[in-house]
Amino acid sequence: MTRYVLRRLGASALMLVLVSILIFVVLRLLPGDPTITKVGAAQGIDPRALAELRGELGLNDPIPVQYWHWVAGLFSGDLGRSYFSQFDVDVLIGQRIGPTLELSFAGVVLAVVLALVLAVAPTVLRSKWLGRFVGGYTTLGMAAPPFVFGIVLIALFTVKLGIVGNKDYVAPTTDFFGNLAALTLPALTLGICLSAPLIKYLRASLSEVEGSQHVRTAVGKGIRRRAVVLRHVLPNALLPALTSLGITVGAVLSGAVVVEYVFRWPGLGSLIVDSVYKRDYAVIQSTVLLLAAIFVLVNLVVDILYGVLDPRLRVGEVAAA
Amino acid sequence: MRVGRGLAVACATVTMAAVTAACGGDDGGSGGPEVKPSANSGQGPVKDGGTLVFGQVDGVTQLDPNKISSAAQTQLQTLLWSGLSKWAPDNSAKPDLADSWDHSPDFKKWTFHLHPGVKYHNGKAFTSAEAKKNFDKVLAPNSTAQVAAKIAMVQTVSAPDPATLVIDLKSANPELPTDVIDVKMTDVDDIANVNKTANGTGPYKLKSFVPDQAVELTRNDAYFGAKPHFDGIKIARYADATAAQTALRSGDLSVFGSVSPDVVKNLATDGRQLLTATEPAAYVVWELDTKSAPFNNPKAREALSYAANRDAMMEAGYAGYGVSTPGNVVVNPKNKYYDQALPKHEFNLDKAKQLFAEAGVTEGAKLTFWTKAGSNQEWTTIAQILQEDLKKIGITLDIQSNENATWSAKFYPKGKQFPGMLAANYVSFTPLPDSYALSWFEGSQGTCECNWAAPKEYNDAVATIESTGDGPARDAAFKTAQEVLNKENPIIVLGSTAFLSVAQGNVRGAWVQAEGTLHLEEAGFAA
Repeated sequence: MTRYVLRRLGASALMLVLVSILIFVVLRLLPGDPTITKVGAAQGIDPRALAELRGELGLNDPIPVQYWHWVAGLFSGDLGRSYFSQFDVDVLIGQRIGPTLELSFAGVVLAVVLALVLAVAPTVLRSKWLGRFVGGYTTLGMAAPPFVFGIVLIALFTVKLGIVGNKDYVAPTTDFFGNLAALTLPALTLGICLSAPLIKYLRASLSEVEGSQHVRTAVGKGIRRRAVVLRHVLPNALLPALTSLGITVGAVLSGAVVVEYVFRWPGLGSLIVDSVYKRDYAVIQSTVLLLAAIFVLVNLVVDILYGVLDPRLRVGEVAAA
Repeated sequence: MRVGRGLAVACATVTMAAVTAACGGDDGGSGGPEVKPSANSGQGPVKDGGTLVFGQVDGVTQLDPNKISSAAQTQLQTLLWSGLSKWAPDNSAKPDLADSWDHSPDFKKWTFHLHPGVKYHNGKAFTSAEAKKNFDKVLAPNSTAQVAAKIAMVQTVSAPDPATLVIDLKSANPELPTDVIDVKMTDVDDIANVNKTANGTGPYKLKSFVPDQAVELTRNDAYFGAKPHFDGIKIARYADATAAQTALRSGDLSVFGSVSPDVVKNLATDGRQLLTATEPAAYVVWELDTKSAPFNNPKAREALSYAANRDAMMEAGYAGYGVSTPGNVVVNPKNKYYDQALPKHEFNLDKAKQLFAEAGVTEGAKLTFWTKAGSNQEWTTIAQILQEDLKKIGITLDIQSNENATWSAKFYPKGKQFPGMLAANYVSFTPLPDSYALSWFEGSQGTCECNWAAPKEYNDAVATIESTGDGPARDAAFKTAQEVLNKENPIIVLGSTAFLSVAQGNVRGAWVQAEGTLHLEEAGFAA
C-alpha cells in the first residue's frame, strides 16, 4: 500500500510540473499583449511607455527566465501581482477561493444526494415511469449547458414566482442566512448539472451488480427487494461510482466557472476568465495551477480510497512488486 | 474623449444608441420607447437613503482614476473623485473643486480658484499642491493616463498658494476647463493603496472593491458639495446582458447601463425609464491602415465609404437609435459645427465599384473585417451587411471575430500595419466645440491608429480650432477640417450613437453625459 501511495504521489507531482510548464508557455503563445490591454483606453500611448511597462512587468525576459522567476516565487510564497488591479495574486485568490469552495461543496453534496435518490428509486420501486423520467433528466442535465439551467432557474424562481431571490454573495460569517439565500440557485444549478453523469454511471453500475450471482442468491432467499438493493446492490455499485465522483469533483471546479458568471458568484472561475480576457498572466498561471493541484489532490485521495476499499488492488500491487 | 475607444470602450457589450434625433423626448428608433436625458427630474420629491444598484456587463478592474483601463470604470469617475471642473448636462464645464477660473487674453495662462476646506476621503486636506501632484503624475513622460493626450498642451502647473492653481500652456486653449475635467484628484502620496482606499474628494467613498465583480460605495458625509441622497451605491457586474436584464426585471437592479438597443423595447416598460445623452458623442467607425495597400490609396477609402449603407447599418445594428453620418467626419450631424454642405457619401455600389477598380481593388479581391467576439455584436451585424453588398461587386469580405485582447493587439498602438483590413471600433469624443475629435488625426500628435499623414491644411485648421475662441475664424477652420476628412476618408465613420441606460421608475435625477456615463452623484429615490 505504501508503494502504491508513493507512486501516486510521484505521478501527481510530475503532473503538476507539466501543467505549470504548459500553462506558462501556452499563455505566452496566445495572441494579445497585456500591456496593450492595460492601456487600451489610453489615446496616443507612447510606444516607449509601453516598452517601459513591459519591462516593469518582466515581460521582456526570455520565457524560461520568466518561468524560473515564477516558480522561484511560488516556493517563496510570492505568487506575483495582477498587472491590472495591482492586487497581489494571493490576495485575489484569497478573496475568491472561499466562495468557490463553498459553491463547489454545496453543488457536489446536492449532486450526490440527487444522484443517490434518482438512481436508486427506479430500481427499488421498479417504476418504468420513474425510470423514463430519470432517463430524461440525465439526458437533459448532460446536454444543456449550466448557464441555460442558471438562467431558467432565475427566470422561474426569481422573476416569475418570486420565491427565491437572485441575491448577491455575502460571506457566511457576515450573514449566514443571506449566504444561504444567495447560494440556493447557483448550488441547485451546479447540483443538477453534476448529478446527471453521476446518475447515469450509478444506474449502469446498479444494473450490472443487480445481475450478479450473489444478488440473485439474495433474491432467491426471499429477501425483500428494497433490502437487496440497499444492502447488497448499492454498496457494490458505489465503488466504481467513486471514480466517477472523483472526476466530477475535479470537474466541478471548471464547471463552476459558468455558474459563477451567471450568478455573479465571486469565485476563482470568474477570476480566471476575466484574467484570460486581459492576458493577466500573473493571475492566470497561479490560479490555474492551484485548481490543477486541487484536481490532482482530489483524484489522489480517490485513488488511495479505492485502494483501501478494494483489496484486489492492493493484492495486485504486492504481486506486481 | 471619454475612455477613448478601443478596448475599454468597446468592452461593453453594448450598445449605444439614441441619438440626437431620438433625444429630448422624441421617440427612439423604429417606434421604440421614449428616451430622456435625465431620470424623472423635477417629478416629485427625492428622499435621502437607500442603496442604488447599478449593473453593467463589464467589471471594474482597478481604481486609479487617471489610468482607466475599461469603460466600466468611468461610471465611478464622478462618484469617488472630483476634478477642477465637471460636466454640465449641456456639455459645458461647471465648477467642481475650482469655484471659478480666469484666463489670460491669449488663453495661454489659466488660474483656477479652489474651493476651501476640501478633504480627501482619508481626511487629508486637498490643496493646490495636491492638484499639482495629480497633474504632474498625468503628464509624466511615462504616463499611461488616457487624459494625458487631452492636456498635452500644458507647459507647467504651479501652486502659488493653497487655494490657487495656475496652468501655463505651450499653446492657447480656450477649452481648457472642459479638457481638465477628466484629471481626477486623488491622494497621489497614497496611490499604491488606491484600490483599497480610492481617496478622492467625491460625494461617495469606497466601501469595498472586488476587481471585475463589484464596487461598493458609501455616502461621504464630509463632501464639500450638495449632500448625496443615497446611503450607498453598488456597481455590480453581470455576466451578460441577459443576466442583467433578468435582474432589472426582478427589481434587483436599479439601473442597467449600456443596454443593447435591440432589447430596450422590452426593458423600458412597466414604468422603467430609458435614458440617453442629449447630444451623443460616440462614433461607430472602421479604422483603416492608410500606410498599406489597398487603403493607402485614398480612392479605395472613398470607395469603401460609398459601399457602406449607413442607414441600413444604423437601423440593423442600433435598432434605429442612431444617426448616420454621410459626411464621414467625426462631428455629429446634429452638432452646430457640422458642415451641412459636405458632399454626402450616399450608398452607391456602382460608384464604389468604379473607385475600387481605380485603386486596384477589382473583382476577386478580398478584404478582412476585424471585429470582436463575445461583445459588440452590432459590429458583426454591420459587417454582414457590408459583406453582402461587396459580394455584389465581386469583393469578398472575410469577417473575423476575435476576443478582446487579440482584437486590440492587431492595430494598437498606432503605427502597426494591418493591410486590407477594416478594424471595427467605437470612438467617443467630447462634443464640439472641443476640438479633440478632429485633433485625433492631427500630424504626429494625432492618436488615430489609421497612420494617416494629415495635410498641412488640416493641421493648420485644427491648430486654429484649438487656439481660437468662438468666432468666424474658428467656424472656418471647422469647415476646412471637415472638408479634408470628407475628401481623404482616413477612417470610415458610419454614424453617431450614444449609450442607453434603463432605470427603474423611482430613480430621480440621474442623467447621461454625452459619452454615455450615467451621472448618479445627485440622484436619489423618489420620496
